[in-house]
Amino acid sequence: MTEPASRSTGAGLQVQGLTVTVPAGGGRAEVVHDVSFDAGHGEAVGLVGESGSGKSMTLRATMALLPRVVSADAGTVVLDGQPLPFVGRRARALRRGRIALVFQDAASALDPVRTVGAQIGEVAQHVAGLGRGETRPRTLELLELVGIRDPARRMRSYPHELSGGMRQRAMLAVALAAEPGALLCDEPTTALDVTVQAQVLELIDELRRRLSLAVVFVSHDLAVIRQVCERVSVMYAGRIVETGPTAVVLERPRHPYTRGLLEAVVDLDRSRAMPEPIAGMVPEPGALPPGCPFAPRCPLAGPECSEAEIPLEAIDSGRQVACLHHDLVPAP
Amino acid sequence: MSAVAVPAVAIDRTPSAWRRLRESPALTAGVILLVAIVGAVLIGPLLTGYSANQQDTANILAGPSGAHWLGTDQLGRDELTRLLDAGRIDLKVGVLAVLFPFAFGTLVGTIAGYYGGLLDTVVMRIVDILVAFPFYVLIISLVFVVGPGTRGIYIAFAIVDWVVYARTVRSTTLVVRESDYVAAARLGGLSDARILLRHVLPNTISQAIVYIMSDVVLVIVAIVTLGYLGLGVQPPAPDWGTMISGGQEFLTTHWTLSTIPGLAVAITGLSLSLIGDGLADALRPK
Amino acid sequence: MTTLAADQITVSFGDLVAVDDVSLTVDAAASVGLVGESGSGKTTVAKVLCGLQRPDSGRVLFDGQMLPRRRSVAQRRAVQMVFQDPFGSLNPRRRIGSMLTELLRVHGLSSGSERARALELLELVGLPGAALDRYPAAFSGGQRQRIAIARALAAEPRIVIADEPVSALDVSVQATVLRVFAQLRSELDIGLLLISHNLAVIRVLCETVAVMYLGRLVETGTTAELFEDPRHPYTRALLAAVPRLRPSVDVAEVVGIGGVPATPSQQTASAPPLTGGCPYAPVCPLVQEVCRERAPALEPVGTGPRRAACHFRDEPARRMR
Repeated sequence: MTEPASRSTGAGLQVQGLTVTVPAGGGRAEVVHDVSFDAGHGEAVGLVGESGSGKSMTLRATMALLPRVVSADAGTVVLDGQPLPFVGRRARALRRGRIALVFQDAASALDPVRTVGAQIGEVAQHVAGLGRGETRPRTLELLELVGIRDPARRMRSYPHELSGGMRQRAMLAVALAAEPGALLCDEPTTALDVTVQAQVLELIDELRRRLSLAVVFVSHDLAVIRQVCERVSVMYAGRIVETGPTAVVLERPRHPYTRGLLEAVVDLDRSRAMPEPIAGMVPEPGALPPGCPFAPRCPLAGPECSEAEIPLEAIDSGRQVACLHHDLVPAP
Repeated sequence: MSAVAVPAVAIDRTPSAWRRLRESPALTAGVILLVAIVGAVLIGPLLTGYSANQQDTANILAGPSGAHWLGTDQLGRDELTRLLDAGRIDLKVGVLAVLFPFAFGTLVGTIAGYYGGLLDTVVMRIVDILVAFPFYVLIISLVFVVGPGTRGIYIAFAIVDWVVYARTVRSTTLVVRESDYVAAARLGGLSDARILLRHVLPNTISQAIVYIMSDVVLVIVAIVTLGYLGLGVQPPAPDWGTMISGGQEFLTTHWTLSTIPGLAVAITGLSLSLIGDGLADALRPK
Repeated sequence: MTTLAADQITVSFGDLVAVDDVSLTVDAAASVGLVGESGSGKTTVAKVLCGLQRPDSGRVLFDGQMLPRRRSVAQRRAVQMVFQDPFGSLNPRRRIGSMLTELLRVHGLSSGSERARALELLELVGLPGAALDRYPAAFSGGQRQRIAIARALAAEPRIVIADEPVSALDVSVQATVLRVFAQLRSELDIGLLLISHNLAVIRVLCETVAVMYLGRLVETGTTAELFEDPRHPYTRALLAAVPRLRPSVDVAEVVGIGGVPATPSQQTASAPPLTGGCPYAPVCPLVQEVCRERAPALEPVGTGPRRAACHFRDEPARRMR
């Protein structure tokens, strides 16, 4: 286990040593293993990985929103110095009004039979504790804050009457109505058109600055993370394999998986270069190879990689990587 | 032509239909029960040594005994033999009566759903009209008109019962019609008939198949009801319905005469429902 | 002679004009990209080209001949499609082998050679022969897309239309599928129409690009030209909006002007109906009076094949690299 680097105000969200298991073949299998990260207020931290990397489960565990058969077996979540339990009534109670989660699919996160204004107002009243008279002005304020034009009219709209981008903004407004200090985002722009995505990302960035939110942003899209997050942790098979400042990690990766991802990504600037797939497939939880989970697919792997679990090791200031051959990883 | 150099592929096995069948407790229980019932009604009457209409006037309304396991009825006929014989007849009529509605309803629903337009509108309005009448009112009226007996039952159900199948299959067809694999089949140059048979129907028919089970129960209950009213299976053939109505006057003294056939209907219905439940699970594509 | 051409296609669904006077050509061994966001009409254009959707006006030409409303089997098979959703594009109740041999049989192959040919097709897309006996459920998204490509190839088409073929796939899997497409072109001489909202994917695979906005073509040209010197404000907005691994453009500044480009639902719900002006006018940073009065036609930019539907098409971009 490694120390989380503490930031600016020292407060913010800190997740340490998180391990999450699911039932598998009679026993349990880990989908998240010893994951740690932290985000200070006004900071955005990214979790990047493909499907099966455990990034969504990590967010859900942090929010105590795990399905019943899934359990957080180890780890702590601390918000502004206060530890948050994973189960029990206090789990939800302590998170209300302090952490909010924004999903990929706003259409299913918003109640289809209630107007947007009603949903925002409900949270403002019951979570942030606003009085009856204060609810409407606050709702209008929030709608403007998220960039929805003509808020007085939009308040009375139902979710299905809004376009995808507007729904995402509405979902942000509902989340912000709780006046949280931390905002978790699970692929919030993946389903959106590119121009709409640009605006929603810009919005999240602005909110982070204005409201001093601690933002944890989960995505499979490296370029999006690059745009939004100062720091990034790369996840593979439930583990963090590399972490550090985003620009540095993406320009000069030190883990073969990160490099593989960068080679496989189609990017507008790498003109005409055909992307390189990563050989092999992501292992199933519970069927992980011994030692480094990436070893079977890794061009740099040797027998020493399959012997024992490879811990995250600090290499430069602020950078950590879980690889025995990190100095051999060529530039992408 | 060179192949693309791609990473090694792992393909996992999906459980076969048989394995899924075995894994469903409802289905297993239902099948066992039904097999027991069918076995009993087919073989039973041959083993009891009596025939259903064999009267033993010296021995009427006897209680259960070594010679007659379930006793005798008011005409001295062996209850057990009658019960099993009636079961055979009722089950047979029940199964046969749903065949035409299933086939016709599925066909109509598929075509209406796939082609839409005027055909669909016409079919659906006919369905609406039939559904507007209470089920039993229609059945009884039709049987009354055609004449009581099994022929009347078959005709009545053929006219009335297909609508549920048509509706169910049509709504699933509407969805499947828009799927990409049907579009791909059309692009592939397959004929409409082939697309309907091999691509649409396999994906729409499972709900109808599950419904058959409840439908058979429905039909059996209807036959029994008709039998009770004297409009169903006609004597001398035994029928659970006529047995129930026949035993009515002896309800206070010899309650088994009516209740045992009633129980038989219930147990048969239960087995079919269990099978229906289990099938619904097993037929769902993974 | 162009292999497949759409000529002035218009498609409406009730009040909504999904495709407005679109003409497009795809040649054998060429690769054309069709770019647009939701509501642009790009998928509808694809369906018209395949014959899965009937246009209200305009025609589709194959090898110079107009295609009838009901296409013959040969005509249907000439243009195949790979769909976006790998989990809905394969019949869950058919084994892969059965699905492939059924399509091969339409081609008139004898039953012995069908299976052999099916194996060949799978090999082309890098899947083992054991896949023939499996159901789609046994495969991952990327594998299913490759099966879908094999299925499209079974008909021996001249043109393959791929509708967002990699959007639903993981990053590292996308690379594999894209390579299969590149192979199709180089080895099989099949023309490719690639539909995507992902500009990076288009850039990697396509030689020419057409950009659609609200049912109309707003810019066409070679990929190189369009990406380096876009002449329609919407194309510029698209390029500016794409997040990059190495940002060189201040995204917020370029996209922030003018607000959200309208999608049809927004257009009909909020804004006043268009009265003959440019559809992009409500949100365009370059908008002038002339834009609201007269809709610009898709016309050439200088000499050469490039065309843009903007009154200011002759002004190069101020900000793009």
